[in-house]
Amino acid sequence: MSDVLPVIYTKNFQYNFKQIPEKDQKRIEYDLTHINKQDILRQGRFKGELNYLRKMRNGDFRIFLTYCADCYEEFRNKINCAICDSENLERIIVFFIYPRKKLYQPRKFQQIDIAKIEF
Amino acid sequence: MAQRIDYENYIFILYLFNRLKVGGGRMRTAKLLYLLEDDLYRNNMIGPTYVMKRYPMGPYNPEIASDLKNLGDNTFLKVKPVYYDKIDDFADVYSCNRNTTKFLKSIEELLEENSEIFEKLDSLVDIYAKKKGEELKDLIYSLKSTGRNQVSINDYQEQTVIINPKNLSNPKLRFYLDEDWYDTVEVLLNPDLYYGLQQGIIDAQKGRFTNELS
Repeated sequence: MSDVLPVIYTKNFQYNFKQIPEKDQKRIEYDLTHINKQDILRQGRFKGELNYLRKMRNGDFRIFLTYCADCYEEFRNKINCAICDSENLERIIVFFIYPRKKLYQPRKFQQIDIAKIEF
Repeated sequence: MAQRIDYENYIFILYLFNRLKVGGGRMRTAKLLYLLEDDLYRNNMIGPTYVMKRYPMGPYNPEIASDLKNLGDNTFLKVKPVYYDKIDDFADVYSCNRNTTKFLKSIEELLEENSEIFEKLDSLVDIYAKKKGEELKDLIYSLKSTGRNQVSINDYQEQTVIINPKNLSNPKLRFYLDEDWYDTVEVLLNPDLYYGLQQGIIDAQKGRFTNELS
């Protein structure tokens, strides 16, 4: 069994993580801090324009992440990570977490024009 | 466990409006989707999965109205209330906008994989794009054989099922999102999720990271 990979979280992930129930937090944190290379490569990818991200399913939560070694060759220009480093590819970056939707319904808050969102 | 949402139906609605290029209300949408379901059913294929029942104005499913409203509220369709003399009230007219086009562009690969089904919708739009909801209703009523029993609409009783695509056994083709596409579409069709992801990417680009969660 290969070694557990170091994990780095975005501040956005940290913020969203703190909004989820504590019992889910514990489980998710445990799972994220025990991922090895085989585990991460087993996680599916999003498709289409999000294909540079891997997704991890944890209960009803979806987690967006990348394995740097996997991202570097093909997708590094899509993300343009500030810490991208060819000498340090054995790590995981976690971007975002969300609970899977139960209903497709109108947003309750401010409307966002997605055409204005650029990656 | 979260219940599965039929995002496939939302994709068909957005694809339809993007092809139509003109506005339409729930009646026009329902009739065009019915014609598509009927055509696919006869060709042993499944596209949209609305269970269409016979209503006074022809085949319809009330979920179409709520799906249109949700897409409008989530900014994937433009919504304009229009006054209609016939009902002496306002009704929403939907049309495509930049978000419709952007969304469809981001799932181009999926649409190509299922081109046989979407080409059927293209053909229907080519024929019926200029027809209004009322005209489409009359056209459907004039068909000699339609729906699951391949009889005239008049031969179906009110409120009975005319077509239920999911009842087709062993379809030759079915537009159904696999888990990876389902998760992708779920994010792309939800502006708050999409925006949240964008914030995560921006953090990575700006170097806003942490090693600790607690």
